[in-house]
Amino acid sequence: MYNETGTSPTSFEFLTLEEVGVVLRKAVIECSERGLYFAAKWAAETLDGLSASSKGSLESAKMDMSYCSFFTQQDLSTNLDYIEHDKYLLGKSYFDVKEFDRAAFVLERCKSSKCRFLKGYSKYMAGEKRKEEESQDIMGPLDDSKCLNKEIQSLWEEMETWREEGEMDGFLIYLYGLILKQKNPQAKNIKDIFLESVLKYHYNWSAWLELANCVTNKDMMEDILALLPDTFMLRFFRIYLSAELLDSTKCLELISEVQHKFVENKFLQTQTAITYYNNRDYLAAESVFEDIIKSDPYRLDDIDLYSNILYVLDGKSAKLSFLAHMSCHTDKFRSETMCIVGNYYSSKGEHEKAISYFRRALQVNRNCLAAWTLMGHEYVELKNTHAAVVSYKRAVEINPKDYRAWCGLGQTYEMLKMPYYAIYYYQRSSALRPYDARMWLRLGALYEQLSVPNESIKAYNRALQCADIDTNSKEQAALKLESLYGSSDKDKVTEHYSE
Amino acid sequence: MDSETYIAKTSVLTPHKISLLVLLSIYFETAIEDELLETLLFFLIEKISNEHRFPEPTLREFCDEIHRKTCPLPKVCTEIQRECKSSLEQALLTHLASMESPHDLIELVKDSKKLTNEENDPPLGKYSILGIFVRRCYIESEKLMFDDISRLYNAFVKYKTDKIVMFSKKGKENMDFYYKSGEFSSILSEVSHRYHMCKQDLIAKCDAESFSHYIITQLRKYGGILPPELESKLRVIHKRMPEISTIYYIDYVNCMQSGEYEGALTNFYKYSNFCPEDVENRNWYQYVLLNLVVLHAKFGHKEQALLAIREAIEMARENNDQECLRFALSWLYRLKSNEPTTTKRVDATDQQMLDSLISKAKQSNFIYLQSLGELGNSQRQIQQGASPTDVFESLLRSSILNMNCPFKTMRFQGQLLNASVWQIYGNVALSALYSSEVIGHSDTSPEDLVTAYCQMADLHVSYGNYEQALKLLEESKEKFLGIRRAALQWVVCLEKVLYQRDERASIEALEVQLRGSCQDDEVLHDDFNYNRALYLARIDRPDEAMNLLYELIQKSSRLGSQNQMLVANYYLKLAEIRIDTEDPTSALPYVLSALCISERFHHQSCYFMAKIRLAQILLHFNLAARAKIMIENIMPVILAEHTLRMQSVGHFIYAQCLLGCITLDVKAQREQSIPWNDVLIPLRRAQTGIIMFLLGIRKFDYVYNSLFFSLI
Repeated sequence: MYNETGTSPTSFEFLTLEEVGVVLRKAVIECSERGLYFAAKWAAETLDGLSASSKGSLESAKMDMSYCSFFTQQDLSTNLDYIEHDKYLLGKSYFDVKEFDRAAFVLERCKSSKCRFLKGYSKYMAGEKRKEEESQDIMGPLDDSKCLNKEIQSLWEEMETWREEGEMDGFLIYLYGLILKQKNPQAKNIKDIFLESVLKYHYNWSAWLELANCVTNKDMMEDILALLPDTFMLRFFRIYLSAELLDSTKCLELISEVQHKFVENKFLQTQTAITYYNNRDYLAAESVFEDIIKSDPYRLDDIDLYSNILYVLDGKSAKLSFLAHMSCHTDKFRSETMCIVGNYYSSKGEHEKAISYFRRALQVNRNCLAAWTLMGHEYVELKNTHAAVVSYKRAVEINPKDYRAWCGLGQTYEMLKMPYYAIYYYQRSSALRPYDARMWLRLGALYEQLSVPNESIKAYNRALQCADIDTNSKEQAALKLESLYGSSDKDKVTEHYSE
Repeated sequence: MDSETYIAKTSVLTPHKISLLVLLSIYFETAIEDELLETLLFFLIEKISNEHRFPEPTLREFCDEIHRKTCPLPKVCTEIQRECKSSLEQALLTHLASMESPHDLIELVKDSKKLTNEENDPPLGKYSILGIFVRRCYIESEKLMFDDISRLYNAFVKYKTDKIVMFSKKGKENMDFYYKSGEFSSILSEVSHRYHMCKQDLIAKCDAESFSHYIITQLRKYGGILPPELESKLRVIHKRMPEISTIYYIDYVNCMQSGEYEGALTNFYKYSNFCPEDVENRNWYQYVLLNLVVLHAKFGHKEQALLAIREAIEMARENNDQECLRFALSWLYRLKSNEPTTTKRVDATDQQMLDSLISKAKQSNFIYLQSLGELGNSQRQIQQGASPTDVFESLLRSSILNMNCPFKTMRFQGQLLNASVWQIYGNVALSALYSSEVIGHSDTSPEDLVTAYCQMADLHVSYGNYEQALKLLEESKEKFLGIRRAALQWVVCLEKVLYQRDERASIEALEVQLRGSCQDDEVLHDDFNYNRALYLARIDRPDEAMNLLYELIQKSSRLGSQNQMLVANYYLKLAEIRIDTEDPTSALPYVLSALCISERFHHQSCYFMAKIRLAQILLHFNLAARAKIMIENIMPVILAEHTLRMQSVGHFIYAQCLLGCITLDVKAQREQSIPWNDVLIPLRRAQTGIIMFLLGIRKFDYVYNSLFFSLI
């Protein structure tokens, strides 16, 4: 009997323990590469069970380097011996099967950067998992949105030590940033930490995303961009940030600059669609999403945005049902799928069903921004203002840059006849999206209600300046302005009408 | 449903029901010809009311059915008919083709709600057949989660695609629409159909349940075992919905009928596991136990049956369930009466129990139990050798009760018992009358039918009508195929017939099969052993035959045994073997025993045969005159009421007696008191029967020849 390499497996009697170690090491990698995580785990456990002496010296380990693709010269120079590498393999195999505590435990005494990162990240993930479990029902009586990750403190202390020793690579710094963000969300140096992380290791997109989360306005963005080298990663980062900050023109411009090099890039396609969506150019966004789906039929990332587009466009219920059907078929336990189905039911006017699906999305991913926001919209439809407020507030906690949630809050408080609150939230929304006429129109109406005509006039004027204002809204704004200006200021009225 | 298709279960909604909803909407909204409206309405009512059809028709089958009902050219040749699509069929297919997305599917169901929901004068009555159907579909659609809707959509696409694609390939010019599988209305629908569809069929749980209930009703009505087509449909349901308990019940009944004990027991326990939907309601448990008693009793496992029945009685007492208690007591009586016991006291207790059962059943007006009790009483009286008057009184009471009893089996049981009793008491004609009454009835269960046929065949054989007997057995064979116990009984009867005809080769072949099959069955085991003894005697192995008969006698002679009556037969046969093989003197005690027992139990045929054999033994002691008188006394009754065989043997022995008397006269040098002609008459009479039975033909020839030699 021969294996794939053309050699026969050595019989048990003649196989030395060193050789066992070699083959097991190889097995862990090969099984893991093929997604056979349990087999990899078994091989790693068996490897770990061999005695230290049987695993061979470093010299003999060098002969096996060729099998291990991730061994670099640097690792060798830091005397990363087989024992720690084996520990790493074991820890990684536990991590792959989501046994985070176990992974952290076996890597406890490891000193290499990779092992430290894996240990720290495993602890962090274990803490996140327990935090989710303790959080209980979504918006239920025991819902605890302030549940903490209990591993954060110990991790932070440990990582502080490493930081002081100067022994942190880009990945460890990223992890440090995550921990600090949870420990002290208001800390001012979080942005700098993630910046340091991407500078040290340039290709960790998660670190770039965290950095993007720290950026709240364009000025900050420019400051950060100035500190970073002009690489393709930076371009992608810029595109992402532009879309986040709703700078559609810039975003499209940046995309066009890189698209010739990254022709089939799904990320760029998605960002294009998001930009069109943010711009309320729904037809263009729909067309881009259709191309994405055609080339990647099983994609679920960002497809919930596509469902929002179909929801907004008239007569797309059939398409929305197809989208829901496709996503259910692909993975019915993804938050995106549940958001899509929720949108479908919402489009049919079945708000209770929609809410149940959004809640399910949140059970899968408590930080799903879309689910919180859309659930808020549904509660508004059902006139459950309290629940709507809670949903929107959770949304803005997750991402303060999402104008929709702020707008939703404004709308809800307007329904509750609390204009001051409503004004505040509309202001926040319009700050994020200054060229959206809808917010200004609402602000104008509220100021009028509060008998603050000057502010009202400003708001309506601002609305009229927005490019996306539709004809009806324009007429309405003009009428309002007329009544606000009154007979005493006919010149202004004339000037306004002539414009 | 082909093997590649994934079959999912659903509560109510299936693609076929969608088609029915489409037809409903066509009825109310589309402009179709008036003459079609009525046809469509009745068609819809028929389809919706038919809850027993499984599986649901495919679209092709459904269209064919619509076509048959509504085609405007019913009388032209089939070729043209196929080409001519009715407008209804076209409307249906058009509508189905236009439903492209899951949204269209759900919208159809939701829109149909309007038919029952309009404020003023809704088109469908809320409680009409169609109204209930529409409301049910609507409610079920509201309960569906989206992935259930996806599944329904998958099934719907598969349901309509075959027909519509086929449709599109034929005669496009005749169609009002076309549908190409390659064209989609949007990229999403194309991607969805290409990557996110699977071959899906749906089984509605309500349909599966009503189909299985229907099967049970049919089983209860007609008995027997399921035909293979129905069984395959049930297997499909069972594979997908193992939680439907009635399937296990059907399997349980099937296994009981075909004699598979293990299968019956397994399915019984599965049925009782799935049976109680209300976990708080424990009342079902004692009935489950009663069924278990029936199961064990049917396969002869009395100890397990008794254990189960004791528990059933306790549960019935606990739950104060009088009805169950009575059934349980009646079964306890039945089981106990079959138990071999050693003390008379138990008999008395059993008798008391029976009397108590009858009186309680009378009080509560449980006719079935009363009748059962009376039948049991009759059986007991026969076994105890009670007077025929008492026996017939019990039988008559049972018959009167049976006239009002809802269980027809009781009536047939009574008639079969009557037939047996008359056979025992020697009235063949009446016995035959009761048996043919059972055979002639259409509702008889297979086991009772076989018993009646075997009784009739026995009667024919007793008159030497072998061909008639075999013809009857042949005719009866089809009526109980697959039912083990009935089949065994039939084979034992056939063996007996063949034995009588001395077809040794055929008997040899049957013996081997029967031996294994009869081992577990106490009653047939004894019959089998008795037949075997007769056979062994016939093939010149008398010692083995006698050993078997001794065993049977020992087994049956135990006090309390229901087979005491049959001991007379065994003694008689032993006597016959001894007469044939040894000194007839050694047969005398057996003949006398047979005589006593048969007289005690009023077993007339055995009694007279024993008398004939006694006369034969007396001949051996040169007591020809006494033997002659003995035969002369009994011959009139034998000739009037008994079998041809007995008549032939009687004539033969009588002829021997006459010969004996002549011999004595000759020896005493007296004048011959009996003319030779008087000897020839009974001899010729014997010849007719004996030739038919091939009974001791060599002996007959010997006697006949010796007679002629002596005459000469």
